[in-house]
Amino acid sequence: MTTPTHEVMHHESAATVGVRDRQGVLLLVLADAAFALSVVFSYFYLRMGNTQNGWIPVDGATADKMNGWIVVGALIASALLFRLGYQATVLSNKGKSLACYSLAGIALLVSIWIQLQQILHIPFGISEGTYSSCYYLITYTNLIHLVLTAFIVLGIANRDRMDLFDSEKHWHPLVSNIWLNWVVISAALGAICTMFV
Amino acid sequence: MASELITEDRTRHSAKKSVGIIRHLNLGTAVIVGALLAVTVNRIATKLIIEGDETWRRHDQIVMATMLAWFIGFMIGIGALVGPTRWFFGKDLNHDEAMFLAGKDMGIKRYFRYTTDHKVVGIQYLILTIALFFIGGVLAMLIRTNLGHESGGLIPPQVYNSIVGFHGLIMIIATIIMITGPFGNFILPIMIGARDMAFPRLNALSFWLLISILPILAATIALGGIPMGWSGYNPLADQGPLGVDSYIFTIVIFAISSAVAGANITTTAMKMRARGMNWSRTPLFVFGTVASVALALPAFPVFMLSQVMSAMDRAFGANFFNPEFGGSAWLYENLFWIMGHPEVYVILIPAVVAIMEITPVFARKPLFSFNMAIVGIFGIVGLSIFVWAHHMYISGWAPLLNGPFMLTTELISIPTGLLFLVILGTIWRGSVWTRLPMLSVYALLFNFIIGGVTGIFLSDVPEDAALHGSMFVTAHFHYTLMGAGLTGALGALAYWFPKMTGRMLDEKLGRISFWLVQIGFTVTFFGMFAVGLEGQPRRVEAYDIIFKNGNLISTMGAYTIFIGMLILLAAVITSWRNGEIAGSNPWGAQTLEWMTPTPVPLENFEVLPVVTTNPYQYGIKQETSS
Repeated sequence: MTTPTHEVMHHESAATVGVRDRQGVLLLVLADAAFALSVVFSYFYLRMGNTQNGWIPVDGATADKMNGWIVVGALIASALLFRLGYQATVLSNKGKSLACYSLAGIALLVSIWIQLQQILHIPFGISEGTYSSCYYLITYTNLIHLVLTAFIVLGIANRDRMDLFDSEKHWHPLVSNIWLNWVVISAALGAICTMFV
Repeated sequence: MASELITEDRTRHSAKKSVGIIRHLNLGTAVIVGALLAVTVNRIATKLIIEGDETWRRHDQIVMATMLAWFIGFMIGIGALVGPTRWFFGKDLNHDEAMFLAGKDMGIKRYFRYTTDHKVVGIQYLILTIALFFIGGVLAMLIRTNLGHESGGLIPPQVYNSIVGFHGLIMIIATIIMITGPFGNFILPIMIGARDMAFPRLNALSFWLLISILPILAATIALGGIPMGWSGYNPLADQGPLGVDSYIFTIVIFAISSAVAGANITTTAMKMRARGMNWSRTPLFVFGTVASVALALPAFPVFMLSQVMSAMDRAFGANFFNPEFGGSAWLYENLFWIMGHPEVYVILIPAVVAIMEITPVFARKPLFSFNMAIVGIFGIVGLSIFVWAHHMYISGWAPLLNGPFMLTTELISIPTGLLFLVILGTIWRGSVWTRLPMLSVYALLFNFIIGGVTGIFLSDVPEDAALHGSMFVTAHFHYTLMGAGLTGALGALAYWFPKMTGRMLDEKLGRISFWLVQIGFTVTFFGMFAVGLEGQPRRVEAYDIIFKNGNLISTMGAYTIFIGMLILLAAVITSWRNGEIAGSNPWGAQTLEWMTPTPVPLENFEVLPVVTTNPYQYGIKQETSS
């Protein structure tokens, strides 16, 4: 089946490893997307079913429909800044890339803070209807997403500060950018859901 | 000479020093850190979580906090967080550390560490799978022993229900990992001519995540069991004891492990194939394994969500599944079966493709229609996404959809039939070398036909209305998952054992085991089909006297299987220790894993291979190429 070659394997190039990393992240996004879409499915399933009129809390209290979009706004700012940082990395513009990654990290921390504030001020309890249960599910899972993403973005900023990226080795920012874009989409899915009370 | 020794010693010393904290972390530290954190969090949670009106909810919260703490502590203690932390601080692993993590020169200790070498992970998975099958098998014997008498009596009803659930859960986990775990990790990278998996650290992570859930799984027994069965149906699970929290945690972590493993294996197969190995030269085992894990990748997160919701219902009083407060039991059933039916093929496809690897080797003939096999595999994958609701025909959910789901379910028999045709066509007029792996080929064909045909019975709506919830269903899925799935895995074990251990599996003991298991299997589950057709319900510890003979026969068959399995276990242990030394290619096979020396060196290939032909050219004279 095979014929040997005299090629000797050395360390793999950054591009070879990077292509794999990208593929791996895309597959993990697929798994995460299955989770997120199941949340969307569950939300609308319970909303349409409205079993025993149990969807909305008895006192009619619901969350502000714009809540989710405020978090998405902060996330979009973070993703755009991160994208600019990545472009600067590819062009070896160190100063700009570090500034952009850092600002992207700050925007993410802001989005975490906003999400936490929203959670702390939810005007209903988790048991008060299936809408409230879904709302808690969406906000908490989004919070977990944001914390994980903040770790990644701040890590990228720190590594950029340590000169670990250049025009050749830009794969970590690239795959992180893919993940960040997905987190924006995922948060938007949650925001779309909660528009339909 | 003396100065050379001193230099070498210093080099080793500096290498050890440069490895840092990683060298101190192993299974022992994982257990200690996990236990300490669990005890600490348990104490704090007990004090902080105030006793309210619903004390059971408070207990659920404490139990879940304790399990989460154990899990985090275990992962810290094994070293899973070292890589991400070092990455964050820009201190990537150096060469010594990478070699240490790969288990270089570490002997048996590497099996108890966060070792990244895919072969070590493969062996770890193999041992874990065997252990899970052993525990699941013992539980099966308890079930069958209790069913040996019509009034049961050996085990109290609630405990019996929990044993059935626990048996199901353990066996499902074991069958999901039984091929993609040991062989997908050990064999697949070598088979495609790679030096390791695409993400070695994720590879170790997927394994140690599973190990972290073992104590949680065991805690199920102490916490009241899982009387609602392995499917964890809600709102029944909402009313279950604290053992249900263990079940929830187990599923969530297992889903994460599956996602990580799925991404890793798929990336490895897609991006790391040897030069010249285009898709038409890629072995079917690679296709099947990728199809299986790629199917699991989107399926298990859905199941994971159902368990997150279940946890919120139990611990915080959310209302996802309780119809009394606006929830829907059908929602749970949908989420469960959206995972549940693809999961059957997650188990079956690797077993069938392993058999497809074995067949041409022992028939000494080229594979009959490679393309048909590919169409079969991906036909099953595609259709399996659209069949889940055949499990819900009589639940009352969307009766108008019963017809379409019946059609998609019956359609799946077409690609499955293609796979049969490929195996039969390969055997046809071959000079079959009937060694132990080949026996599994015959057994799989026999059992899978029975499992498949009875599956068509159950996919039929009126037939299912009569047979749903009966022992007929139990016999059917055992024919597919055990008769076909496990048999394929045993064939794979016999086939790749020499490559993985360097020794041949004892043929004589293996054959004795094979015949005992297969005869026992047929006796057990034919008996079960009979009582199922007569109307015996499943998951009930006592039954009417009219089912007595069928059950007695099934119990006798089950004991025969168990004895056969014990003999196989003995064969594996003795062969691994003292078996006949195997050469690098004892079967004269043509796939790449047999081109490496045995034992396989750390990075598999000294020189990376270039593939020039397809892997099933048996009996065809090959041109020598240089």
